[in-house]
Amino acid sequence: MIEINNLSFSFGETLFFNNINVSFHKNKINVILGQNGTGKTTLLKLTANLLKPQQGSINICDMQAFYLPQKTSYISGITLYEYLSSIFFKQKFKWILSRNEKNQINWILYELEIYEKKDILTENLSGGELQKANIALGLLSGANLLLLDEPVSNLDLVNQIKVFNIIEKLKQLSVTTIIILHDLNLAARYGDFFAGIDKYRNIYGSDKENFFTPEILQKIYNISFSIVKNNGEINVQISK
Amino acid sequence: MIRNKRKIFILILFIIFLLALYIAIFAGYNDNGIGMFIKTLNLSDNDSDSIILKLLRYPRALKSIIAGSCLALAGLFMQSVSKNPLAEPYITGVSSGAGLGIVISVLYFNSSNYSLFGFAGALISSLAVICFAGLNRFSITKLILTGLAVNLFAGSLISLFILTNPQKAQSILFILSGGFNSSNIISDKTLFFIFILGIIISCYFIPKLNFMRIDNGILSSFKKEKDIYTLSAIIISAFLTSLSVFAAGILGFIGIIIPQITKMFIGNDYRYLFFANILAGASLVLFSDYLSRVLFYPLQIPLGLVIAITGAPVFVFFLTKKGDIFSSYDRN
Amino acid sequence: MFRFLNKFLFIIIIFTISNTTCLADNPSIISLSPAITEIIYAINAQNDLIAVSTTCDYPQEVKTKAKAGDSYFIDKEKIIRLNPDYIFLNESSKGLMNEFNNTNIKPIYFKSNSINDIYKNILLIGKITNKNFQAESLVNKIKKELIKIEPGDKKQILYLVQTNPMITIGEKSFITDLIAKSGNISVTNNLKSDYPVINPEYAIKLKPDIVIVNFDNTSGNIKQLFPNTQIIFLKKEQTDIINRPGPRIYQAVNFFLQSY
Repeated sequence: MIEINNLSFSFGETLFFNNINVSFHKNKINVILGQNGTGKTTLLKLTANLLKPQQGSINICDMQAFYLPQKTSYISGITLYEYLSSIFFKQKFKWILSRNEKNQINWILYELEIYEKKDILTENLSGGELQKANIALGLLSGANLLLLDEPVSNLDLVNQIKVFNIIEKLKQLSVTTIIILHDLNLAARYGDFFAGIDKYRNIYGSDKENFFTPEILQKIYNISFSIVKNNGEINVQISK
Repeated sequence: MIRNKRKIFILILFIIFLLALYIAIFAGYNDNGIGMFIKTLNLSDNDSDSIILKLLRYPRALKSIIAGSCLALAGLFMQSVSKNPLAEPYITGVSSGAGLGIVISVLYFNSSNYSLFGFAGALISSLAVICFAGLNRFSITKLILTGLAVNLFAGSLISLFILTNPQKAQSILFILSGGFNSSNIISDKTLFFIFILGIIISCYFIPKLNFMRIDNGILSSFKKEKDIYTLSAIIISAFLTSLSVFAAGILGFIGIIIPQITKMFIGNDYRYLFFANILAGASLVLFSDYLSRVLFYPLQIPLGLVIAITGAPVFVFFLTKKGDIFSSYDRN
Repeated sequence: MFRFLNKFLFIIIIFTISNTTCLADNPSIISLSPAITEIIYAINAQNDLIAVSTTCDYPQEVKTKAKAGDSYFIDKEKIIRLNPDYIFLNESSKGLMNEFNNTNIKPIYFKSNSINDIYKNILLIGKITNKNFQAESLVNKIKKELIKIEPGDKKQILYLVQTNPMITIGEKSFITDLIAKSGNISVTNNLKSDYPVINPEYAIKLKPDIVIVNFDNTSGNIKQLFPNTQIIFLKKEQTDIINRPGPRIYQAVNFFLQSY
């Protein structure tokens, strides 16, 4: 369990989060939902230890966090394989990759289903492939807690599904993910645990069954929803 | 495939480098190439050809190599950590610091050892800029702006010194445009060892640039490493630039164009760029030095001018041919 | 057409009258060139001199004069306040005086590329300061001194104004003329400009007999570059005498004659 207890955080003088409590589940896909400006990214950055809270504690159980921002730039002039190899040059005394590291890169490429693209230059890759590459970077860095800020917001439907299939696969590799999402149906389909932030920055955290109720969704988004359940699949619709 | 291309490019650069080295040492006005070298082997030390080789050509070639490769490497470091293709090695206030050191040396210490003062000035000013930028949270933008301010400040001081000491104005202006000092305060051997030391330190940090090429947002997860590598890259860059000032005065342009041109061919693998920059930087300065000797022989024109005059058209040519690489900086 | 000529003549007449009236009483002068200052003192016109440059230091009395800048940086406000009739400058300082175009202050530029130029300069200064006689006798004195000098055997002299970068004297420098007058040859006398920056390799290949280096240069590696050659490092006073196209040039010629 990743525990966030009694956390208060302020930007300068203005209080942003006041005494919030939320916990995320290990080896699961945790989804953060909420309107724009409610502090989803701030919560993610606090979890990644990129921002320091004024009060309270964040316990990530000695997991190694990897934060993937919403917008990233890509260096051109290198192949996908080389892009992934970048992360290994973090170590001291590194001039060439070891056999083990090369194998790791190939394995990740294979697992994320982009192996056949490994010799393509980054500038010629699609958005979905690049997003997978970034996730691969996180995995290669040894992180087992991925913090993804809207990882699929720039992708088409097919690529969204592809990326999420990968993220789902990570559960088997005992990787915990916390994802910010805007698409409720996508969230309902892939997420295991949910945290919604309303505009007063109260946090509602619960599992799928208890989260996707019209009442809680109404609190978070301020509009009314209807939930359709179909063979265990949850479909969220906006009520007229 | 791309890796083979890189190796071929570096091989070509190596051949160009050997060619430039040959030209810089054995070619000149009225020279007969390698024959000059063979001739000097049989002659006494006081023959004019042998004096020219030993006292002028060899040291100049060594200093050209040092200046060119140091500047290119320093530019590579600065552009990489700042992720700004316009960052040049002098950006941390090095050039004006060096200039100020040189001017003070020429005016008040009446010394031909001005390059030592230039080296000291460059090192002091860049370290000062790095410290200023480090106060109250370090950032690259702050570094560049502080460097700009220091450059302006010291630049005005230089102008003031020149204006108030007109009898030395011509020589100061000539020295500031870049060129080789014949000083013996630090022997060429020592200079060479310092250079090798700089290269070894760069060797250690160059692969880190392969890590630093990842997006800054992603790198924020590895804040500790990122900060250490950024700072060390800037310090190395300042050191290499100061060394180049010691060798050949202030030479603009190399620190920007050589990293850019090599990137057009090699891409962004900094391990290959390391060799390519050393070779290309050294070749450009060697060749420019040759031109500065023969273009208006027997007159000599400042090396810095020749580099700008030969370098700029080459740079624009490559930009129009292969400039699409810069689109990566605009892409999100 | 006639009217135009008429106007033209009128202007010329006015011009000459104004010039002659100017010449009639003693003009006030600022000299920004040490050599010109020396000439003014030599023809005894120093009372017209109201200010000099900071580099003027000969003869001794000049140090009491007011200072109005040097050959690169001119104290323009001070000059306007002193309001001289003339400013004497080296030809190289042209362009510094653009602001004075519309004032009564008249800049006069002196060219000193040869000994003859120096004679002309002396006579012109004599004319302006109404010391024609003194000027002519100064010229005659210098000429006499120079005739007295018997040219020595032709030595190849490399004259270095500066060692780093290597600045020497070309055909337009009067020093080349001085060396020629002493019967020697400046090895760089074929170079076009007055003070060219040269490639040291060229200097070595010329194989000079004597290398003369101006004051204020450290030796650098000159001794190694010219191993079997006599090298003379000039003192401050010697440098001044040689480098100033003024009344002391015959001493400079003598120096080149006796220096070895």
